[in-house]
Amino acid sequence: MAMTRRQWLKTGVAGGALLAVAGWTTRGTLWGKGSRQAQSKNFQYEFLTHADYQVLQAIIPVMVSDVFDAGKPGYADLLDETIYRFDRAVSGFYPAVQNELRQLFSLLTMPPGRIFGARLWRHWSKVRREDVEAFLNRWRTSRWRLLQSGYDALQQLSVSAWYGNPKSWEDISYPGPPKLE
Amino acid sequence: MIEDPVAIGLKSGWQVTDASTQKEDLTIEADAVIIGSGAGGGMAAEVLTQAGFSVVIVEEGPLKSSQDFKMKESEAYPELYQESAARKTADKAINILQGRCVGGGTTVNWTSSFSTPEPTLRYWAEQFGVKASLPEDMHPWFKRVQERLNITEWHIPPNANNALLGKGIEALGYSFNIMHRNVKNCANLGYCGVGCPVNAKQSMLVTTIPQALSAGATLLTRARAERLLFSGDEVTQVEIAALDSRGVRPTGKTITIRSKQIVMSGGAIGTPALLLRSNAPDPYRLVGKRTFLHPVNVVACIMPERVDGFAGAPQTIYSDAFLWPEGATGKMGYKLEVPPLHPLLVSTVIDSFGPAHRLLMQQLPYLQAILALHRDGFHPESEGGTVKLREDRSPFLDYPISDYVWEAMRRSFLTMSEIQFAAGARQVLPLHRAFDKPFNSWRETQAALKKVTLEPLAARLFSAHVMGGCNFGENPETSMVNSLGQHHHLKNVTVLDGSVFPTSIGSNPQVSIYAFSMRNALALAQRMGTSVSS
Repeated sequence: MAMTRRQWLKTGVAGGALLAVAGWTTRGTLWGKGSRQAQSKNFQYEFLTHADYQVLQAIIPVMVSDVFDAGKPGYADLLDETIYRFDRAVSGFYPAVQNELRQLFSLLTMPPGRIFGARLWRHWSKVRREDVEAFLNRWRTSRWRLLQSGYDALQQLSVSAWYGNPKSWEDISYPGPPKLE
Repeated sequence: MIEDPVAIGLKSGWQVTDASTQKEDLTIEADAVIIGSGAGGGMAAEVLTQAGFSVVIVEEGPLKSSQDFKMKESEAYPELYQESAARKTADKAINILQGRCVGGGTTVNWTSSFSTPEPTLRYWAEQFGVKASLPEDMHPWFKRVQERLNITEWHIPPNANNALLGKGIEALGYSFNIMHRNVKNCANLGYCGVGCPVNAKQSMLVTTIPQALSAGATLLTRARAERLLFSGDEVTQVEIAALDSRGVRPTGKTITIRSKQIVMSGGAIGTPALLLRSNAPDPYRLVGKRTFLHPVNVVACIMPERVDGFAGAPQTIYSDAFLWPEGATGKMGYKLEVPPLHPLLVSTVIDSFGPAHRLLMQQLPYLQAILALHRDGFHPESEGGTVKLREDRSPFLDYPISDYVWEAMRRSFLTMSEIQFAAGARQVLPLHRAFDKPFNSWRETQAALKKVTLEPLAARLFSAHVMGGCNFGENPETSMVNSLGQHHHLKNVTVLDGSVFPTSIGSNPQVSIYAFSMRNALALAQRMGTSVSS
């Protein structure tokens, strides 16, 4: 009973095919097996694999624009911290929901999904900003709910990872919680 | 230093066990087990311990209190909410906020206090056979709840976010009112939603649960009731799984509770899910159906002066002017309130990305927002959603949004936008995927809203009020429990939480849950008293 797949909604033929591709390519690759957990110099990740980490390295700076300018000092650490917060959030979800996100990331990281779903010819470590923008816009306004809700998941996790971090608050003039006593 | 009643209570010897630290399987016996420590469970715990019964309270979430409440969204949402505040309906269209911690939703709600509206009570009596629950019957219970939880009208001036709702409504010739809140010595900070750091909010966490624990009740936390075992029409034991320290996965350790009475207070979604997992008797296939959400849409705007919607009591002004357009039935009505505007929450409500998203976030101090709570369940085209179980037995809510509901949301988008321009907004942005940039005039906004497509995922929708799924009423063909919460088919099960409501309430639920739970818990205590041998 593919309950988690059906939860990605009735989709168009291509949407269903994409999901089937993701399933086929991950069948027999249980979560955690066949892929290594991401690890940076600062953090050990619970949900994200090394491949997922590369996806977020490309996506998060586009989601939260101009904040993660590659030129700025401390950029790499700040991006790493944000990806860690993303990971931390996902590892707190229901296992069944983590499985759905695992399917989403499989779609993005396996070449067929990356190419036909996200229409990204380059590997995530080499993808260009404008390609990522085009991919996100396409999914955001897609007539297939599978892709729209995939966009929503990535967007919400990305922006909440950033704006939940006190380092983001100066830019938006949020003074933080009041001091008590 | 703020005194933390929970920390003090723990030092004084409360019997509290964090199941995530359990090393052995446990068996516990008590007169009553209460599953869930929220609005219903808290009331039940106080009533039953005061009546002299031994009580075990089982809570899936953690015990967190004011010493833990640092007003940080990134900590609070994963710790205190179901599914880290990211619970969604099956099609992902609605984001559900429910509490998961000691005190449940009452620990994280925004203190808005409303008695059940009179038309709702009458509708329940007429359409669902609910007995002895008309306005005149419930009035004394609302009064008792108000006294118990210090519910009074808010007298401090509303913050700008709220005042602007009032200003816009008045400019258009409609009425608004000031809310009542369950607070004592409130410091007007605005962080109710992430745990009140000064214990002003009279949640179950600082009122009924401490009372019950001081009277000798036992509390298990990080403990999820998995199944009820029953024999014939009687539940013989409750099987509980200990969860890990983040409350995500069972550790493998279990707790078995044997009690004469079972009180189900896991809330809407939680209570039906437990009944489903237990394969509890349900001859008319009602469990989980008719689950309601007061689905919410939002319009944001940019004001010429600072609003600072992150500061000050979050909800103090409301309008019912659009709630009963054609009485209880007919066109769907909606209640207008405002949400507090804290960075993480705001960032997830805006669905754009990149520069468009950031530009709006940079306006945070000037943002004002209005939300509309839609009164679902009062029309054949608004039958709510159904609670279902996944393969791994975790629950989810399948809530299809009908055209009847979309029609109401189009009206509420228009109403909220018009109010904001009338209140002086420079630019207005109904939160809909089709709108990338805010509008500069009411005419433009109105034209766009009239023809925009409304369908799942087009606009970010929310729910902070989950109700129903285990309806009360006197007819077993159309209800799971009777008007006192007694299960029609399991004689020692009583449901005391928000899952009993046959429709949405039409106002923020906490007082309704308190009042019905208090009344029905006292009735249960009486029944238990007559069958307890001395």
